[in-house]
Parts: sequence; C-alpha cells; structure tokens
Amino acid sequence: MKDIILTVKQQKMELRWFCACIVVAFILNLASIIIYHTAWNELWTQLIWVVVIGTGFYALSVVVRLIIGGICYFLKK
Amino acid sequence: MANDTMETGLLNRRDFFRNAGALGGGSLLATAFPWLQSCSADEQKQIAESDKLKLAVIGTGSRGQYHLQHLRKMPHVDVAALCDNFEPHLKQAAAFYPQATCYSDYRKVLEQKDIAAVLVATPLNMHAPITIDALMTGKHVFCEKSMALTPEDCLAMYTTYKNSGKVLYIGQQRLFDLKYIRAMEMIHSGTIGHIGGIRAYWFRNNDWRRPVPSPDLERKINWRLYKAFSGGLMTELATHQLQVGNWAMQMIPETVMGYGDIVHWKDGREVYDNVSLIYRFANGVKMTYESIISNKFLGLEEEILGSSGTMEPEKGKYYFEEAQPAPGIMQMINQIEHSIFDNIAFAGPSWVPETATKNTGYFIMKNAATHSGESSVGFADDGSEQLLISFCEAALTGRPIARLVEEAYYSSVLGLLGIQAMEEQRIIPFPNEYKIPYLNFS
Repeated sequence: MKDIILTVKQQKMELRWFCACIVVAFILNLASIIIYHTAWNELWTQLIWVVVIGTGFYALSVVVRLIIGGICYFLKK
Repeated sequence: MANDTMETGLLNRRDFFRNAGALGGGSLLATAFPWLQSCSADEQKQIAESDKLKLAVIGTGSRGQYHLQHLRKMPHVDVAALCDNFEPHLKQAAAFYPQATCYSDYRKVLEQKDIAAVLVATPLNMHAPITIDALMTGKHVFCEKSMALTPEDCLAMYTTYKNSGKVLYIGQQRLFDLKYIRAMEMIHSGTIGHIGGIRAYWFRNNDWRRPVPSPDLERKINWRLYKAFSGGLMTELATHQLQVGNWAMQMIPETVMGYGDIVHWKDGREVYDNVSLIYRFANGVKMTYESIISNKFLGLEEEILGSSGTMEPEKGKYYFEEAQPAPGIMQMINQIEHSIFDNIAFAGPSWVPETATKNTGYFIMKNAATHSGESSVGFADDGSEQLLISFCEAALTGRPIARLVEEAYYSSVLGLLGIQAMEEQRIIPFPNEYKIPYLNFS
C-alpha cells in the first residue's frame, strides 16, 4: 500500500471531467424535454436528477479511465 | 326571536353557502341543485322574526340522539317533545332536553297543536305510518332514510306529501355534503367524460348487532336484522349509494337483478349479510351494488367510471385516465433501461395484463370531510347537520324544497326492488305504478 497523491493538475482535470459530465446530463435533460414534449420548467425542477446522473456519468468515467489506464500500464510493462 | 340568538345557526348556514358558492357560483349551483337554494332575504327575515320552531323527535335511539346533538346547536329550534316506546332511549334523550315533554305513543305527540314539525328516527317499518299521520295533521316532517319498508308505503308517503303542501325531508344527507356536490358538479360538466359504469359498495366486518339487555327485546333493539322491520343492507346502506348513482347519471335505472344470501352471520337474522346487484339504466350503463359485512378491506365507495376519469366522492378524490406524465428525463432513463434489459417483444402490448396503474389522483376539494374508516360507528361531517338546518329553515318558512323527496323516493324504491329481485331471483323492471314524475320517468 502506498499513498495516492493527486497533483493540482490532476485535480483540475477531474474537476473538468465532472463539469463535463454535469453538462452532458443537462443536455440530456434538455433533449428529453424536447423529445417527450414535457414542461420547460423541468430545466430547473429536475436539476437534482441532472446532478445525480452527472455524478453517475463521472463515476462511470472514472471506472472507464481506470480500466484504460490499467491496460496501458500493463501493455507498457 | 332576537337576532343575536339566531346568529350561531345562521352563521353556520352562511358558511355552508359561501363554501358551496365558491364551488361553482351561487346561481348556477341553485339551478343544478335546487335543494341548496338559500332562503331569500325576506325568508331569512321571516325566520329571524318568527318564533322558535317547536319540534318533536320521534325515535330517540342512536340516530335520533345523533340528530339531537345537532339540534342543540340550533338556536331557532325548540325540541319540545320526545317520543319513544323504549324507555332507556327516551331517558337518555330526556337527559339532553329536560324541558321536553316525553311520550311513548307518537299519536299523542301529533295531537299537540303547538308542535309544528316532527323528526322521525324510528325503525323503518314505522316511517310511513308516522310520516303520513304527521303530514295529515299538518306537521312538517323530517324522516330518516330509507322512506319505507314497501314501495306502496313509499308512494303513499310521497302522495300524502304532495297533497299536504307541508315540508318533507328524507335523511339523504349526501345531497348536502359539499364534496358530493362538488363531485356532481364536475361529473355533470364533463370532467370525467361519459359515464360508462358505476360501482357502489359498502363493506364492513361486524355483525351489525346492538347489545340486548333481555332476549325478548331482541327484535326491538336489533330491528335491522328482521324483515318485519327492515330491508337490511338494501334499506339501511344501499339507499344512500343508489341515490348517488342516480344523481350522477341524472337518470333512474329501469331494471334490477341480483343475488342475496346469509353467508357469514348465521345467527338467526332474516336479512341478507351478502348482496350483489346490477341496476341497468336505459342507455345501457350499469350500476353494480355490493355489500358484505364479513370483510371491510374495501370500505365503502361509489366509483363513478367516466371515459376520461374516475370519481370517488366518498374518499373525496378523482383520477384522470391519463395520469400526469413523468418528467422527460425520467422517461428517457426509463426508455434506455427498457431497451437494454427488456426481452425482445414478439407481439404487441395487448397480451400484457392490464393491471391498474398507480394513480394517486386529486382531491375534489380542500379540507373535504371524509370518514377515517377505522370504525363503522360515528360519522364525519357528512351533510347531516346541513340537511337538518335546511329542514328547520324550510319548516319555519313553510316552503317545500324541490327534488329532495323525489331523490329519496327513487333510491328507496330501487333498494326495495333490489330486495324483490334477490328474493325472486329474476330481473325486475321498474313498475309503472311506482313511477313518479322525475328525470327520465317524467
């Protein structure tokens, strides 16, 4: 076991990933309002779901990046 | 009478009309539901200036005492006489009204010239003789529902009432229950679309018995269980709900068929404890009625099934067929989930069982008084008090109220025809000789 250190550069990168995921979730909410002809006030009334889905996307991105990083690590070895 | 002593009763009445008026506009409401028409300014003045209404209560059992509690709050009413041939009940009532004269024979009450009105809350078999005698001696009458034990007696009561020019009220309190009034207003304005069916039911789980101090009093106390005194479930419960069905349909059913049995409470009673009937209207709509007193899971309700929605006035709720759609984002997630995890469909959706969708519905009105359902004893504010206030006002002005007796007449006769259909096990058409001019039987 060793300490995992996140550099400032890495933290900024994670923050960008998280913001991107939130933006994607927001766009999905916008698209769903258009597709299903629901009320426009869902843009803000459903923000809780945007945050939940955005967080889910971010968690998914972490898993995917860890898998890709792991594969690359073993390939380089 | 001094205006200040009138205040409590009239304020209560004003609140009722203000709440009722807020439902759909005063004049519109009075046209649709004429029995709700408040007294004119002249009549209100007449009530305020008149002497107290001298009233006699005939029948001081549980229902009679329930009415006496309401009467105590009405300053323009003087309960001058109490009458019952069962001493313990009479004593209980007299404790509330020590100034009232007590009688054991109703005919003695009717001989009293100063008594202007009588309230009849006796066993059903005595409704007709007392009401007819009272009307013929010039008294205004409030008679508990159901009207009478036979269609002949119902018709005799109605004919006497029409000939007497006196006020007659029958205890169909749902006509004065604001949530029912609002529900009917919505139904008649098309909120739930075309009515395709009505499912009315009243389920409870008790033997319907009262404690009997001595075996020889069994029939006197538990009169609801014996055919000589009562029609059982059909006259004591169903008449309320049949009236609601007619009110919703604005029509009287033309035929009835059904089955009745004693299934659970085989304790010597003569009336059914389990009934199931179908009333058919001229346009093909059916009103089913079911009452079982050995299971209370479903409670009581009149489900009015429209093409666009369903009304449940007893619960004070209504439901649209198309429920409010879920938010777009949830629909999208749901669709993605189904596309990933569902099996491939080989046929259309018609094979999917059409179980009821979860639909929480909407309240008919805010603060609607509904019964908790925890007990079958006791009542929520169900219109009974307003019905009684309305009767007292009508008795003071001497003005009979339109349509009220007709509503009660048809629900009573329909209940009795239901009993006939169950006993004879055949379809009973509404007999022409019992049709009075009202709605489709005009």
